[in-house]
Amino acid sequence: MTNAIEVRGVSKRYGEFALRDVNLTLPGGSILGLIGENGAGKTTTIKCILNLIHLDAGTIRILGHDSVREERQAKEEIGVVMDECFFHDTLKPADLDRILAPSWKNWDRDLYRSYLKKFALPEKQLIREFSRGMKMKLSLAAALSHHPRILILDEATSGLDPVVRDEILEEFLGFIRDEEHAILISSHITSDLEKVADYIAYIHQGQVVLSGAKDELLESHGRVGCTARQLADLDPQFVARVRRGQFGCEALVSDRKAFRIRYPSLPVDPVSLEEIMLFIGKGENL
Amino acid sequence: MRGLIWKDVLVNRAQLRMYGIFLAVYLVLARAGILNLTGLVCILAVVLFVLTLNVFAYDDESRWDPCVLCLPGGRRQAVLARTLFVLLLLGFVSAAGALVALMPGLQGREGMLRSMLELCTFFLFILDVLLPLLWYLGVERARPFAITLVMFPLVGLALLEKAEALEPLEKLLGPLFLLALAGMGVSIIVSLHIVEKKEY
Repeated sequence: MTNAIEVRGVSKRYGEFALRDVNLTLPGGSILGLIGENGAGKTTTIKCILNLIHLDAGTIRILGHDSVREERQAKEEIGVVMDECFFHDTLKPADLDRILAPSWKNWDRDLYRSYLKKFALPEKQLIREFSRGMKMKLSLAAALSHHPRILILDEATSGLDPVVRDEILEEFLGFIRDEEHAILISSHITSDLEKVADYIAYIHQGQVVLSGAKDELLESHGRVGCTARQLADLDPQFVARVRRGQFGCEALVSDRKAFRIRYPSLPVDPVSLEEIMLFIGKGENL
Repeated sequence: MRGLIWKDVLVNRAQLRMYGIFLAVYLVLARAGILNLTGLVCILAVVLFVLTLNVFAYDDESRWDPCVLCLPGGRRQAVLARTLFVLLLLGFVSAAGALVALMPGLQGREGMLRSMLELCTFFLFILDVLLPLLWYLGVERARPFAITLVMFPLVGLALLEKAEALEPLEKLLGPLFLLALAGMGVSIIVSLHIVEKKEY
């Protein structure tokens, strides 16, 4: 089966910032969560995939189509929701139907209307009068109504209350039920990704520093609380990152099982994605 | 592309409605002999200029460009749709002007058809330069240049008229119109080149 998205060796320099040799694969029927701090390169990666910015190096294939040379075919398959609603405030949801329908081969007017109904979005109300949650739901309705096979979401759930976020995440899970569909979602709300993502890629300072199946990452990584002396005695090959504090030290281990066998007296706790992010973002090497 | 042209119409519908009402009131006043039609041509020129800047300004305000580039048509469709919208606007205004010229009993209607052709030619020349400029700089940075772009030729024409040297240009109105129209082809190519290079 063709991968939904394949990013190979992508590099892009923006003044001081550089995206370096990014490789990502989004298999069909799955959700890939892109995590990272603000300014780490998540949005730049998504812009590269959408051909909004030009690559310095590398290639991107979307369902087998080159994202630059076969842009039209590639984009027919993608629905995009960015971090804010780009539709003009003076438009109404009903207007979007007239605007977007001629642009897509597979625009489905009935499906769009059904999403408006499902999300309780009034067709005749100005977008200006919508709340942020309503605007994001409208963006999602517009992104889903041409039957895309891939959804790309850039911080689409940030700034939303938990109820709306949950509603939107449910929609993603519904979308992914079809094995031909896939979602690439960037977010720094790691709890959302822990709920829905199958794969995780962590971008740090423009580079993918960690990637893999979410369950495997969470299963293999662990946190060890210890003293500075115990930390000094650890074999560096077991320790991915460390954080030293006033009252003790913490280590991120990348192979929990192997660590337990080697150091049975030191308890290893499970870690969340957020903790892994903090270790990599703020920690140091042993 | 049809959808994007619709978008520009819908986003500007309040203004278009307002200008429509204004035009109707103007015509009523002209019919009553209170206003002369020569002023109408100047007003139509201002309307065209303002609406052209507005469509770019509204897109900038809502950060529409990244959104339109996510559509299958991409950059090419965005440029062609915008150009077509502005040309349709010009065509619509010209048609309205021509219709007025056919209405009996309006003061100054004799010269109206010619004035509309002059307006079209002038505005097409402006658009030939203005559209690539707007794509390149964005509306806020392009605004001073846009005003200069209109003011300089206007002052030039006024000086030529004062020196009674406008007649040769008037005789060349037809070829000048065609030249301006051909310039639009170059303008589209330049705009496409600018937008292709641009990053969003």
